Amino acid sequence: MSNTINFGIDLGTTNSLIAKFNKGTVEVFKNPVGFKETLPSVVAFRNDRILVGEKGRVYLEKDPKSTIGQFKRKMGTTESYRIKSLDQSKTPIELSAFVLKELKTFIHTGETPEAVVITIPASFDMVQSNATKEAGHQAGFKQVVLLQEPIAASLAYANKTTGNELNNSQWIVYDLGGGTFDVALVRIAEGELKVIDHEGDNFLGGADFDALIVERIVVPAIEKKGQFSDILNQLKSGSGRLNSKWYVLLASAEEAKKELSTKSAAEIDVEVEDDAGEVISALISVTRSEFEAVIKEAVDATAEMLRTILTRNSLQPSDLKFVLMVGGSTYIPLVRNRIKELLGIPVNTDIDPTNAIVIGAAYYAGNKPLELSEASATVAPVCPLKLKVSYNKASQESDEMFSAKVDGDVNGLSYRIVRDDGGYDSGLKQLSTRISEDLPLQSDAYNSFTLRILDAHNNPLAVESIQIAQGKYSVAGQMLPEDLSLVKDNLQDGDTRLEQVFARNTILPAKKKMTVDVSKTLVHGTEDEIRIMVVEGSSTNHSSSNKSVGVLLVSARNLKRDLLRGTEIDLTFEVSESRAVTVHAYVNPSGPEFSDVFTPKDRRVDVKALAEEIGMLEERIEQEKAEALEHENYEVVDVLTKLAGPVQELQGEAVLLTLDDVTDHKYKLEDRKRKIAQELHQATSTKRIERLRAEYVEVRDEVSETVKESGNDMEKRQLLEIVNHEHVFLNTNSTQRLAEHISKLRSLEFQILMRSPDFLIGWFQSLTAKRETFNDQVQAKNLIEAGKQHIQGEDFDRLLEVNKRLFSLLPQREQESKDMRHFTGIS
Amino acid sequence: MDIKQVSTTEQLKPLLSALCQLYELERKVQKRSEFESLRRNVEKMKAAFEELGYRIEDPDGQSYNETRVDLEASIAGSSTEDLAVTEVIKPIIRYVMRDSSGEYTKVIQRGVVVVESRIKN
Repeated sequence: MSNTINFGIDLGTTNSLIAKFNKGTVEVFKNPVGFKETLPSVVAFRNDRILVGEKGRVYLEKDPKSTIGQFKRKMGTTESYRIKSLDQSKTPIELSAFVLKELKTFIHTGETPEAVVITIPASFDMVQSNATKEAGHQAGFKQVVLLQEPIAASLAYANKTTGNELNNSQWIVYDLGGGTFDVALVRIAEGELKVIDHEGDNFLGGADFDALIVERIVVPAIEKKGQFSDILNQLKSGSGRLNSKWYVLLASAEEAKKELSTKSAAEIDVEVEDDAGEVISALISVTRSEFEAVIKEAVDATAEMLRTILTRNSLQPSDLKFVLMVGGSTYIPLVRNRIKELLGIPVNTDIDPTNAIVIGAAYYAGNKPLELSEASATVAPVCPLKLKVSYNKASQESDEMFSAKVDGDVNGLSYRIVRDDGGYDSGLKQLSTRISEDLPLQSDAYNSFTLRILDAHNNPLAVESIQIAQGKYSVAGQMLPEDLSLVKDNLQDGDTRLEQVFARNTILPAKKKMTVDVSKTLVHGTEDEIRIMVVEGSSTNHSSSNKSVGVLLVSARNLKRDLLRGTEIDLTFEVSESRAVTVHAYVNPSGPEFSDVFTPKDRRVDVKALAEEIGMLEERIEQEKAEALEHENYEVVDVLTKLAGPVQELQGEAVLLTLDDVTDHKYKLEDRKRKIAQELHQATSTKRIERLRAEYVEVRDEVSETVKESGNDMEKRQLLEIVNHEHVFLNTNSTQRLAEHISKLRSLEFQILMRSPDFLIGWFQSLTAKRETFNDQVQAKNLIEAGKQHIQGEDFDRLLEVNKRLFSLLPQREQESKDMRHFTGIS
Repeated sequence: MDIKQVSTTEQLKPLLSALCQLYELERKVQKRSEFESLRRNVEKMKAAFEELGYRIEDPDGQSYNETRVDLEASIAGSSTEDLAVTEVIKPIIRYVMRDSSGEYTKVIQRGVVVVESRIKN
């Protein structure tokens, strides 16, 4: 265990932060909700909840009787705040303790510090300092060490830079934050840092600059574009017609202000209704010089305070080493330049102005010894309570009641429930013997909550996990009995493969979108077509073994222009509760839309596709038989020989069917085809799986090498994702899954190779070797010339373009590999 | 990707900014006549981001109260009861994780909104 304090807190007027010193470095902790380092120093008492920070800030302006901010200004006074909703008063010390306790929740390391360094303004007197110490004790810290903010900022600087001789010198710490301004003269003499003098304005900061942008730049520009009688009042008044726009404009102004720190102009997008009901949309440009003009007066006032310090201490600007800039508003170039210009002192912007004070506090804490006994620091809190919780673990509602019975002494304890996705926080609530809370649920998801019982110092005594599944995870809805899959061409093997659209047990209704590539060019006006085939059955089967749900035909006859190979088609699949499957195909934004509905009662069998499938099946049986004979696998040969007769018979019958056959004969044929296909796949699956497993391993090793050499982070992640799951699909006995992953690996490799100069040059050379076969010789010649130049000039992006265009000039048969065959026309 | 890494890295900023722009773009074009021709592109971009694990949630019209921590709100008007989101400055961005047991999400950018009371004075 460390024997130094290590934890530092910047307990600010507007915002507070917490950091930890660990082996020479400092970590500034982030709010587990929203991930910001800063916690607004605001406490709200809403109904029976205590909300600290961001949530409290929301109510600061609109519920001021129960929400308190800026209480740091009243530290050490006898004043207290009357809280309307509680009907009692809270002192600034108590309110500060709430903020300190909330900051403890930022610590993700699981530690519960009992000692801390807290920073205070240079202006704090003894009473105010003691009040801060007391707040620390009330928050559960046994040892509280105070540190002046300008000293903390100076320490952050001293620890960040090396070789800067600060000894026996003096400088100014200029702290312009979100709502307050402080300036201090700091001197180091005989190794001791001291604040010599200070000045400040409690009502000046970045938030005032945002308002100035809106009032002086944006509003006048809006006024010119529409009819407004009293726009500023309408915006700023709580009852004003445009009050909601005021907050939108403030947020935009803040963004613009940040942008103007690095750019010379920023734009603010405005949409507001004028008095005549006309919507005014405008993009208002704010230049840096306009912004600087509106804040100049305020910035000059800060320089004046700095000058006062110099005069009071009989110092010349040349006596100062630098002005150390602290606080988010010192990012503004005018602030830096104006101080330099008016006072002639170099401005030091070496430290991060937003967290410099807390970093300095942590450095100080890292060297400050603990004065606590080991025993007191290590005793873990013991939970004196027994909890009995009750709630529905599955819900269809948007919220669910959680209740718990608490046995034991609940006096002085509180509880808090947070949703682990960062969307809900009950706030701190006083614990009684019964807890009852409505928990809001994310739809269609597992909702995981954590209930914490906390002692008076916010240290957890008990933690309980709450899990509620909302929506689709409940079994109340109608479920899909089998997988629904889309049949796609597997061009490499001249076969088809299945891509799962909906998994078995999906709760209906369900909807899914997919994008597929057209794998052959459709010439408009011809009889050619693309088949969007949906089949029912395990998606690990071969498509011919599954039951056809329907085929949506994208016919070239209905196309106004050619549909080129490689074009994307967007498919939308919807399954209603009654299991009717609707398929929509959008060819391109301006092209035709194809759509059809397949209902379970009205089963569709496309006669043309059926005949083709039977043909493919027969061919496949012959191929497999020949292969089995070659390997002397007579058992398989035997099974396949028995299948040959029925499939030939089937083919004969299919030929006799007319395209518009209305009898149920086609369904019978389809059933028979399916049975034969199942037998074929069963007989040959062992061989195929072994072959695919070996192929997968080979491809994986090859692709891993390529990714290692030339892949980017995203590609490395994609590969890792496949490899991490390989134990699943290598053991499933599913040829479909193996083929799918091999195909994914190959696309990944291709994607990388497309960036590789060697590959592109090699491709170019193999294309030029086929120059005689190009459809357009003149164009090919020009492209080959251009390609050579791109190789010489090492312009590989352009070489890729040339390769693509040359490839498109190859005759169709050359573009396709010899085994390539289209059944559906999509891949 | 570990969500802890996601939430603590500054690297996400440009991505979050792109998602906000996409949201803004969708909102702007929705009001225009050419939206139908752009809808597909916008939806495909959203789907691509979702594939990467990033989901945009539009809180417009949703109820608001003090327990919601996925929104940074400013309250317009004078009442603080029965609040609902009326202006969205930034949408909520969630990181989506899926495994065999289902879907889990984590808020990685809180929505920035203006809320107003539904109760009319």
